[in-house]
Amino acid sequence: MSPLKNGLMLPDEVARLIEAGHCLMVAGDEALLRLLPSGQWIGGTIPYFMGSEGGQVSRERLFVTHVPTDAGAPEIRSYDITSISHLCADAPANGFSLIIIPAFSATHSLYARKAPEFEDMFMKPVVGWIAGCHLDDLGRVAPAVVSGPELAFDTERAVVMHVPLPPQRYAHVHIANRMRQGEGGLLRFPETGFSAGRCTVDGVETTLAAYLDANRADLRLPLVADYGGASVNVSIKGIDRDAGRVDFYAPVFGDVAYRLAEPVDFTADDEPGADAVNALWSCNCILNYLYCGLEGRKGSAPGGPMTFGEIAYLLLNQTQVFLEIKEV
Amino acid sequence: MVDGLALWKQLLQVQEPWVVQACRADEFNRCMAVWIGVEAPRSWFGLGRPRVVEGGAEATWRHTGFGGWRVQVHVRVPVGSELPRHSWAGEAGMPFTRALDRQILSLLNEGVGMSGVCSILDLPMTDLWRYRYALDHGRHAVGAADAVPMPASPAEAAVPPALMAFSRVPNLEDPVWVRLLDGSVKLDVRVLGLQLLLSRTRSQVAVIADEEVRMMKLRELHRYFVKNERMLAHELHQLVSEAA
Repeated sequence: MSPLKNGLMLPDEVARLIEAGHCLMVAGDEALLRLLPSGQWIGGTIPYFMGSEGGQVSRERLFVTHVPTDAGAPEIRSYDITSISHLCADAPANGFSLIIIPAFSATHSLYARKAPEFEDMFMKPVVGWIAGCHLDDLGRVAPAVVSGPELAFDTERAVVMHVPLPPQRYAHVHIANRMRQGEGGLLRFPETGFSAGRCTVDGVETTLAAYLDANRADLRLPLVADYGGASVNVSIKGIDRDAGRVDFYAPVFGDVAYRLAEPVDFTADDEPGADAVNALWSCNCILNYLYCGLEGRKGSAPGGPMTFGEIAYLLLNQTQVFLEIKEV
Repeated sequence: MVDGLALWKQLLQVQEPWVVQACRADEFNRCMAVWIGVEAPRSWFGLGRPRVVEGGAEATWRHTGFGGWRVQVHVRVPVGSELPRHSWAGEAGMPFTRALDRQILSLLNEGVGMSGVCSILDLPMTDLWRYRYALDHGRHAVGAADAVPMPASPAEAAVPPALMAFSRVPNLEDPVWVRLLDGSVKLDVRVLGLQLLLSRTRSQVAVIADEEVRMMKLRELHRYFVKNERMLAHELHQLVSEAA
């Protein structure tokens, strides 16, 4: 839909686009984002990308997505934990919202657990990603997002671009997820959270740690929920056997059933669908980058940042998210 | 006290990250004061940064009464945050919460006079005049954020009237909606938003006994189809063939 090319660019090129009035979403290293002028853009920190030359880590280039403005200028807003629940209510009646949330922030935690309850969630398209950092810098560098008009860097609040579309177009969100529910037991958890101790497996009380150990589970495989045909992953961070606790990269929900994913060949190439090729914007998961060994390998079009979490309405893991603009 | 905080959390429907921090009863004046503030979510797998939620200015509004008691809500808004848009809070500079605001307006719309409103709701006339003055001078919009979604909601407003006239979405009264919600009608759904919404709504309806709440969920689903009809050709084809 956008006639302008998206992809990896040098900061000077991106600065020229901003100064020319283009509306952009930018992903990249914080030092590069700090070189950009103020303008109609939002950004987030991450140095991992899927570019035209394949997966790469770069502290020299930024990934740029052109945002359509043919129905008027998008609105750029920041949301904290007190206001993030109004994200969809504030979105245009016809259009979409692009959101970037700093990893490990309170907003990240709240969005992950509460997004399904937000007013108008699922009614209006929301896509985005979780800003991160180089894995060598974990725990030392705070992921940040940027509101371009004020050049405001923020490690706690989310930045959102609400983009209106003309009546003859609409936004379509879809995902590519190679994970499917396996044949193992049906897992339920007593409460929503980023970690789990007790759970039931096919109705029998146990601990998730014990279940994973007993099944010699490959911890690269996520727990998978089936939302009416859509597979939604919760990736496993690790098992703390002393505490009897399993930690996740996204929350398990107390009212959702899960199964461990069926084994996959992490080295197999993805087959991008036609929808993926036509997407305006896409992002993928840092865990796919690591587990699938995507560095130097070409992945699904159209490329984009490899992030600390993907948002297609909800926070997802190990999933590629696409936003496509369609004509009526 | 802990029980009191939990009770007021439930009565006022205060949700995370907001918490009821204190409540104090003035038996003599039959007035309950409730303080609401923000509690930051717990840190996440050890990488969460400690977050102190700095309390900014405190805003106070009169809320709807409970059991003959007046209720005063004090909200401590974090520095840099906007005022909450919930029904237990009000607009900056206004005397009433949104919930009370709606009660007052509905009485005024019914033709009840100012002194009548004060008498019925046990309000001081000075506060009501202040409210009325803001209304009359366009300085106050009533309840927009918390309004119950009506058929002509903002989301539906995106659908051009010409398209609505040719809508294939079954009427809200069609029994197919109840069957879709309880799972007896199974659709092959290809649209992610509908997959997520339908799955979530079905799991909620399975444990909701209240008929009005079930109807609210049904209206929400219907609204989704009306708003997103353009992308639901595959799903609507199946739904229409199941409809009465």
